[in-house]
Amino acid sequence: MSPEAQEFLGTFVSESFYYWASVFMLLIHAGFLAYEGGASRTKNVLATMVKNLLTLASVGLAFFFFGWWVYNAFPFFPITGGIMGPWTNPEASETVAAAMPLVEASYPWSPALGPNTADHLTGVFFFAFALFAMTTASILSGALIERVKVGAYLIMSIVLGGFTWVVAAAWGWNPFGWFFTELGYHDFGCSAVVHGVSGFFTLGVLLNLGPRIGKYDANGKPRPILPHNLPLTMVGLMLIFVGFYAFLAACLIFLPGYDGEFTIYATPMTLASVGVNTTLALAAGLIGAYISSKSDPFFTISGGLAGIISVGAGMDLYHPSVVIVLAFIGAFLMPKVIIAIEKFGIDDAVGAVGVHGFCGLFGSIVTGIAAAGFPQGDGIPNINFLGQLTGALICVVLLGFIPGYGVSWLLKKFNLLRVSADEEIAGLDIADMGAEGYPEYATMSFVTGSSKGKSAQPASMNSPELATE
Amino acid sequence: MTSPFSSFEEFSSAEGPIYTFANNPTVIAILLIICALMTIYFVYASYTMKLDSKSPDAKAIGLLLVAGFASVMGTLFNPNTERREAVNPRHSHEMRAERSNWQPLALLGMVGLGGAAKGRSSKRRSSRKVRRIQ
Repeated sequence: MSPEAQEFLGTFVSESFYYWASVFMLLIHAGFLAYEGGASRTKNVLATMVKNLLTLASVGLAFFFFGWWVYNAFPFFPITGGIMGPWTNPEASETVAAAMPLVEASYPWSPALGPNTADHLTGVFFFAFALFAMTTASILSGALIERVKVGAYLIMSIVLGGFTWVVAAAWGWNPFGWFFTELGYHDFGCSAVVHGVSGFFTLGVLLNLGPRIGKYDANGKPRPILPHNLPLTMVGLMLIFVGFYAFLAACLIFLPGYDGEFTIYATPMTLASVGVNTTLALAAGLIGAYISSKSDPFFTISGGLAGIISVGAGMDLYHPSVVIVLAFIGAFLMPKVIIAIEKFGIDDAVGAVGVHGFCGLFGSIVTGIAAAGFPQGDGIPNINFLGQLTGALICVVLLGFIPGYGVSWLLKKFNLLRVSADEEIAGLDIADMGAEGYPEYATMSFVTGSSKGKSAQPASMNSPELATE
Repeated sequence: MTSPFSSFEEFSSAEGPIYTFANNPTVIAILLIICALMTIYFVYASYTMKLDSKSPDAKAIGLLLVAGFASVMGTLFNPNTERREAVNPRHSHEMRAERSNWQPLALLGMVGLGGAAKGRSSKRRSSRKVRRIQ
């Protein structure tokens, strides 16, 4: 084999690895689609699934137009430098000179994003990051089902998936990011950068969106709104698990010429350990939630995801026994957090705040204890509790909760956030889609005689039948 | 500190374990014992999960095991002779089909009986009423 061919083989291995990892990450979206669809009621199943599907479009395009640039342009801002772009002088410093080629390759008009035999890797990294972005926005999607306007969701998915989480990634999941260089922040599997941001963004939105009609009785006591197809929800979560193996594998950095595998922070790691630790986190998470919720099916299977998220930030460093203990703790606490949130009057239809927000925050902070003292490079602080706490709180508050609350508040002000009570009672399938998910079944419209163009009679906010249909 | 390394040079050039507590096998051993206990408790808890009591009913489980064992033995030693019965052909076909699937069904029956015998506690049902399942 010629030296040129050998060199290209390294490029091809790297390109192929990220390409296929990203393809498998699409299973996360197939999973979210099934998960949300199953969690909704029969009158909302189509609208719920279509809304989730549109995430691929809204976030995919937003990430192309500006999200990819934000990731590469924001790592120094506002602590160690400014936002980089066409206005930046590459000779300002050595660090800027090193970062600028990445910035220039992230503009929508960059030759690096088109078919280009001189660049096999920019496009495939864009692909992986775009899938990360879609995952982040999909987390929001499920919590808002059955009452959010599709347009409102699309706007919020663009803000979250195309901007706020990307800023978090630029700061905390980037070798130039100031979380890393100044605080020693370590978040290998994006516990706070993805899950914490999206979970708390969701919390901010839910405060403005309000609960579904019939969710709370006259005394403010929560009533169950049962999934119309819990088995579909569970299968969806299984697909999400598969996708997360790929998501975490894609967090590994292997480039042509490398003599080892590294994290985004250029610290050593192995792909094998990701396989072992993800498997054990899944197992321990299921156990934790199973015991905590007394075998509740939804909480139990969500526990697998909670376990993975709870150890994501440090799973490149944790011994398997540490993974089992931490995943168990995170997943054990998750159902209690979800129930507490519900008691506060917040209707989170899929428990996104508990599973993603709480476990993401927990996973990021606990790395400062469970992986404390690991060195991360010359001049870079070791992994430490204060650095993890600061980074995680900035993620969940500044880049999660505040933007989520702010955007949804604005949408609410202009009456663009929530569907009308009539539409909500009739079901979004009829209101938005003009069709039903199960036209041959005795669904709400069949029973009440409502159909497209003839909305159901608004019922009392406290009528019990609303919680079941 | 959970890190086995004191410098980045040491960490980046490591040939071997790089995980937390790699230099402290005692901690690893303690954690593994905790993990094992957690796993054992999980299996134990799966029996008590649907009960108010804190321990599984040993008599009920023992009785079920004996009944299940007897069921399997009975199936094994049951002579496979077809009695003539004045039934419709469809019914006799179903009976033949049943006889061809023997031990596994008996074992499944044991498991099913166990689940049925446990039942659900009123406490569990009442807690489920207020639980929101997404």
